[in-house]
Amino acid sequence: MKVIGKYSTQVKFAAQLMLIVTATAFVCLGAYRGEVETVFAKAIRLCLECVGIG
Amino acid sequence: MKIIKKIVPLLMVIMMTFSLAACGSNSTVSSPSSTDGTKQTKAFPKFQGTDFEGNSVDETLFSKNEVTLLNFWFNGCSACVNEMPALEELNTKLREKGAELVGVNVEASESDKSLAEAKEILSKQGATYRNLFISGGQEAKDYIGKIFAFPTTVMVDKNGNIIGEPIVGSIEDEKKMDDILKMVDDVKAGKTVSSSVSSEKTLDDKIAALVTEENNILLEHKDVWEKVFDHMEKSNVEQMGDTTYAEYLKAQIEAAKDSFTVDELKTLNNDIKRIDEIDKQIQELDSNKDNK
Amino acid sequence: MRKQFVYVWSVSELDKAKVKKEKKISFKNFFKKRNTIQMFATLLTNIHLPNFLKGALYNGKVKQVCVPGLNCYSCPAATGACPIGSFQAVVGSSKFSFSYYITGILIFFGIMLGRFICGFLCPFGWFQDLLHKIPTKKFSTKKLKALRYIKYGVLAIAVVALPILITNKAGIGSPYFCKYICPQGILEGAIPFSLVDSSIRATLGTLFAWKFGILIGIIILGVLFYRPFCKWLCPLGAFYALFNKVSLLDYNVDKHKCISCGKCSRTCKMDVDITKNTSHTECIRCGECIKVCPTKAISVHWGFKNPLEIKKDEIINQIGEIKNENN
Repeated sequence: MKVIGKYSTQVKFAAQLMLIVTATAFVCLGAYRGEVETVFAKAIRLCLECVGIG
Repeated sequence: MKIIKKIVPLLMVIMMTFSLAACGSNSTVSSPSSTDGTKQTKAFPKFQGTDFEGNSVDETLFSKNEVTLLNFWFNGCSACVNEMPALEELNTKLREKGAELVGVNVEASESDKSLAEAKEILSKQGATYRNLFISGGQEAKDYIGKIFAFPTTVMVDKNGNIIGEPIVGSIEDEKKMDDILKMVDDVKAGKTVSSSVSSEKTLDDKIAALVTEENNILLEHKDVWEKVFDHMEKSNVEQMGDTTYAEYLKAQIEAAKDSFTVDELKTLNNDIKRIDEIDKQIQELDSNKDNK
Repeated sequence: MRKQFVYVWSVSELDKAKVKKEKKISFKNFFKKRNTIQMFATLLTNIHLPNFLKGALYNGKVKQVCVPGLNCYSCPAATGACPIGSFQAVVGSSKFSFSYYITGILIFFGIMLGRFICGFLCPFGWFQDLLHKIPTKKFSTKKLKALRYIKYGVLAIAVVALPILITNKAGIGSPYFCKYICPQGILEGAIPFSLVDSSIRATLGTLFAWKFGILIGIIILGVLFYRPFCKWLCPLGAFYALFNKVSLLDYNVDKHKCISCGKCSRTCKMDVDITKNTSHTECIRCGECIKVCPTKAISVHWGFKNPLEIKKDEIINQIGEIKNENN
């Protein structure tokens, strides 16, 4: 019982670490691809139809 | 929970004071139409730009067309891109009238990548009308910087003056395109165009406002007009068919001329002139409504 | 909770002491209250308040980052970009078919906080909380649990699939969620702008009427039910819900203290029984159950190691040592 209990905590811990690493990797990859400019270009200009006006 | 409840509000207060202090220096952008209260004709600011074929352009391009429609767009705006085939059609119709639709991409001046992307979008959507980006002229850049709602269409006459208000939103639908073509005709005929594409509602509002104005005129000299109405004979009502209201009133006053003083007649005639003008305006708005 | 003992000299002092204690607690508690934190979070997410009057849009560098809650970038005061809107913008553009940047940020938020964001940091969540405070007859959503799955559909279809799959000839896809569903864009963007800007007011058409209808519908439902948008429609909530299980912020129920009285599940407005599942996908970590538990069995912790587990291990180690000594 103790072993199984520890195992699931270990699995959870591993998943958390892995996801944090993946998240950081994704952010860097996305920034490298130039996605940040696309986000920025859209965020500072109001595309009316995209928000539901007009 | 204790830790979170202690740290979070503290962080909030720190961040809030920090950002409020920094808030003053942050850059913001406001629309040109909302801040400008005057209705004087504004000249489109001088600019230097390059069209998508590499030729340089500047404000002299306005003098080559009766009316130039500047359609501001950017690469990420799906509405702008979706209306391009409709704009292509509009351009063909405009060319027949001696006008032109010119697209202005506000992103292309920033990088070559954006320019290449813009060209690709145009070719895939089948847009052959001229497109350009503006790279020089501080006033022009400021004007464009102020535009934040897309797509925006600005009409400029051949002297480089901006006509009416910027049209905000896509102009894809038939109604709006017809309005624009009509405005172009009006400008060519020399009439002053004061407002942009109007929807049904605003026209009704305008008509209602004019009718109230007319009633106010009659109320101004209530006593005199009451005398006129008293004198109106029932039989004359049928005659109204062909004449305007103003002419009809005039005829009535002629018939009852003797019961009025010279001053009263003068006032009545002035009032009739004003009513006549208002009637003409109402007629025009009515015909605009009918044509939609 | 520390107990404070107040010493009094006479019976009449008792009343005074009690009042003093309550006053002190309420001032501190104002900042600890969830409502206050939500207010600050909404303010931070929409810091550029003067823009509401100017009818302008903030266009500084901070807009390259997205905020954790659902906050439309079209809001004049918005500090950053909306995660859902940015995702659709990148995915709908002709250059990309998936957004690593935004997904990465969202995974980071999910791992760090899970649906705590929904409970404390989302402006639209706060809006619904305030709506629910309006005194009317309230209805339970316990029997409507099946509707919860709709939000996953909204996430998968409107946010992800449609902008990727349905593109025009230029390869650009429309942001379907933002365009047809999201009420936050109307509340924060369309309404403030059309109040101060006449040209935008003139542009309002059928699309606005449709989305305004959705906003009114959600407002009415929000008064009668608790957080209907969060439960049934929000794609961001759906995404964070998937991370509740692995989030570093988690709830614990001390099985030794819990007396299974059921008070927590009766209090929970998200229809969650925390004693059965501490990382339930619908739990927005609001903390109401913690407040009502008579034995203080429920607690929250942030971090990799669960403090209850650590305590258990320590006790087991101590028992082991004592055993060794005896031997």
